[in-house]
Amino acid sequence: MRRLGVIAIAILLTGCANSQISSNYTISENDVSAISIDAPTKFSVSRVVVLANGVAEIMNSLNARSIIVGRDISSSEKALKDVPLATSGHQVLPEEVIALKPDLVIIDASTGPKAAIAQIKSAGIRVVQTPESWTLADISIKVAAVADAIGAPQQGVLLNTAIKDAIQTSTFSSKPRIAFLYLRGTSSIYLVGGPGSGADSLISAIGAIDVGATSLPRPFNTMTAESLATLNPDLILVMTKGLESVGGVSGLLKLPGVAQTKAGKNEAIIDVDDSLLLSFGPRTPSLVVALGKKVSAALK
Amino acid sequence: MITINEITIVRDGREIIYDYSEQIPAGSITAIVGPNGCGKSTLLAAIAGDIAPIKGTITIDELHPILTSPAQLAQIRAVAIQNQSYTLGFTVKQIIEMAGPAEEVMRSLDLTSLADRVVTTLSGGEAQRVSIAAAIAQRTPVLLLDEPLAAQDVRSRKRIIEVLKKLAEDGVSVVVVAHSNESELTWADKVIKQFL
Amino acid sequence: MKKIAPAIALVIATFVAIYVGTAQIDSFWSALFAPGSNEILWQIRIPRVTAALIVGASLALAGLMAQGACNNALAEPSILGTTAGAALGTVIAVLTGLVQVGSMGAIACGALGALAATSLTFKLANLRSQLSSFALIIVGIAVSASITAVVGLLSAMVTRADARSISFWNFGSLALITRDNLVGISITAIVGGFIAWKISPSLDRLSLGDATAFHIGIDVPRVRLIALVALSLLAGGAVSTVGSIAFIGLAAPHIARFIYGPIHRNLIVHTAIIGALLVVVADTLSRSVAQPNELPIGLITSLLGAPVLIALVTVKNNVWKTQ
Repeated sequence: MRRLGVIAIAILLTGCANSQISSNYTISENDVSAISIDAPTKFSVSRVVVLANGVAEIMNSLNARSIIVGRDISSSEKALKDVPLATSGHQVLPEEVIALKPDLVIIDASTGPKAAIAQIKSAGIRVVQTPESWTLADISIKVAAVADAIGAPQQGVLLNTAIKDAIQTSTFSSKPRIAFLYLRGTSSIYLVGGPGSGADSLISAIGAIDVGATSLPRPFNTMTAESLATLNPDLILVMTKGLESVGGVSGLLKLPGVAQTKAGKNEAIIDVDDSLLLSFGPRTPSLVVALGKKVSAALK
Repeated sequence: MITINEITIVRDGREIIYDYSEQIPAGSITAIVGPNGCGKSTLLAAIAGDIAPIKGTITIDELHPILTSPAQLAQIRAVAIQNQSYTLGFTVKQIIEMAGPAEEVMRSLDLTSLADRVVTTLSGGEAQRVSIAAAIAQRTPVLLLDEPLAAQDVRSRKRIIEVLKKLAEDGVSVVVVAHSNESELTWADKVIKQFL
Repeated sequence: MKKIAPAIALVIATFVAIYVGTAQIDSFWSALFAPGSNEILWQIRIPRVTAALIVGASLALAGLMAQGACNNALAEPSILGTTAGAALGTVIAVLTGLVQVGSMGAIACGALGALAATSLTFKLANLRSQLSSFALIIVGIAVSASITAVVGLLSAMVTRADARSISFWNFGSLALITRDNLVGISITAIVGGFIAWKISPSLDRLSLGDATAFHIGIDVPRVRLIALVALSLLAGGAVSTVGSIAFIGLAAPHIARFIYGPIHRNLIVHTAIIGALLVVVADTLSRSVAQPNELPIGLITSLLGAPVLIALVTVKNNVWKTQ
């Protein structure tokens, strides 16, 4: 009897997983690739610590991987595996940064704590803040800023052109109506993306309509059963971990409101890797293409 | 006939009653008197089947109250406790009817005018009379009353005693716990004096 | 007039509840009389409003049973530990992968948890031999708090959407109701209500105190146990499906007694009506006051219920004697 109790508690504590059906339409990091420039380039700096989201990726595409000597936790590309971390979690460790003897530290508005940045500056190290990219249009601004910071503006222009050319809008017989859902099932947070969520710019890039962006007021709006059923999207776009957190496709379909939409009825649900979906950079064109293909497949 | 045979009752570790025997016949009024805390109410409770003696037996017409189901026991004996209090706002009539038919007993105890009064608004004496009325309404061969006259005025006392006498005449064993001294108990056929 | 007011209010409130919502229903009236015609109306809104009615009635009846069985004006399922037990029973069953919230299995586990917790409270307060109001409330609060803490810990430690969230268990929510949930809660409401109906006369007698109730023929421990089973079914079914909605179990019986008097048999239907009314109104408010956000329904019932508690103490009322 006691053994049963121990087993029961063990199951309890490990949170026995219930059956998860992953959607048929998944986009992971392996499904996309980054646009990059091949030509060898000269840079104005030789030791760069990258503490901004997505900047390492851009530098990779500018063929500047070799000058990166330190990174933050969000720069998680496989190519950067061996580059030392200069952060603890999302907090910058000034001593680590200074110890790497960089001649340039790249930050953005989210890098913190501010005191750590001040310390790095007072050690005489050049700190450049680059803009963040929340929409497709922001990509070129960010690429140009990074290219300027490392002294390769021409290469920045080349990369931007390559990226712009690589974005292909798919053609659909009728524009699909897509809703982006931000899900955190474990905290019972369910939000519908609206104008400015970032997903809206991705969705219009593939030639579809973001229904949340056209009818809802804020970038992220509370999802209720009735509001989603009224939006009635043909397709639902979510992040992979978010989908997991509600119990996969079967769990999502159980949420009231979802089952009443066209997307719910046809199980037209696309999940994209969390780090991929809303990070706009050199991988975005590839993502747009992959997404366009999945949308076509899901709507068949 | 209530037969009490060599009972010993212990409460809170104290022997309240020790090796006591008694016989209470039908159709009589028996009064149990004594100072506070000497065991009068305990004896009544034992006869009622509320507590069990640790030694000896009590029977009411051969039935052991302690072994009888509440429903069956309620047909044999009725009890009016001291200090009955009411939490819900039933009327006097509704309370009495929980135990048995109310019309007759309300008349005999002068409660008809209070029939629709809510019991939570009654005075102490009125509430006690209601409690007695309910016990009588149960129409059992044994009637156990704990200090029924305590809160009553002279007139009500006379009334109650008249009613009890009539019940005894009709064959009921009436057992009353009383606080008064011997000289005022002329209405009782038998007086039991309990000493610690 | 006062006596049929709650029933009329309930009918009106139900129609308003079905009418109000974030979605605009085209040709509302024809959709209303054609079952299944409008999906949002028939698959989302009407099931939700129906659940509100059933849950409200169940919680109110549970409160009536609690107050009757304990002969105590403050008794209600959350004070006795019943709602906490129902939540724990359901959460454990969900986490071990046995059931899903809202299923019949979950309701069974919720009812069992409710029964276990309430029995624990009764046992610790030593109610089977001697009723002690004070002990009951204190022990109940302690048992309830401990079990609620365990539910909170489990919700925090094990991150799974199907186990719901702390907010769901503590404040309740009708947002996740689907048509399938209605069967289970209907069964517990009907069975629990039937048991409540049957023991009503005994509960009247219990109000005389354990001693006197016994003297007029009531098997007090047995009646209390039956009331406990009814209470567990009613509260267990409701809580395991929509979480813990505060105050209904406390307020609805008191309001009903104020209007209709103390006889339990009369109170069964009226308490259920008032409970249903309170929850339907609270749910409609929670859905419409801050659209498109939904306010937790338990917060609204607390806001509605607090004045009731205060009125209990201040308004002179012969129906329940409060010291």
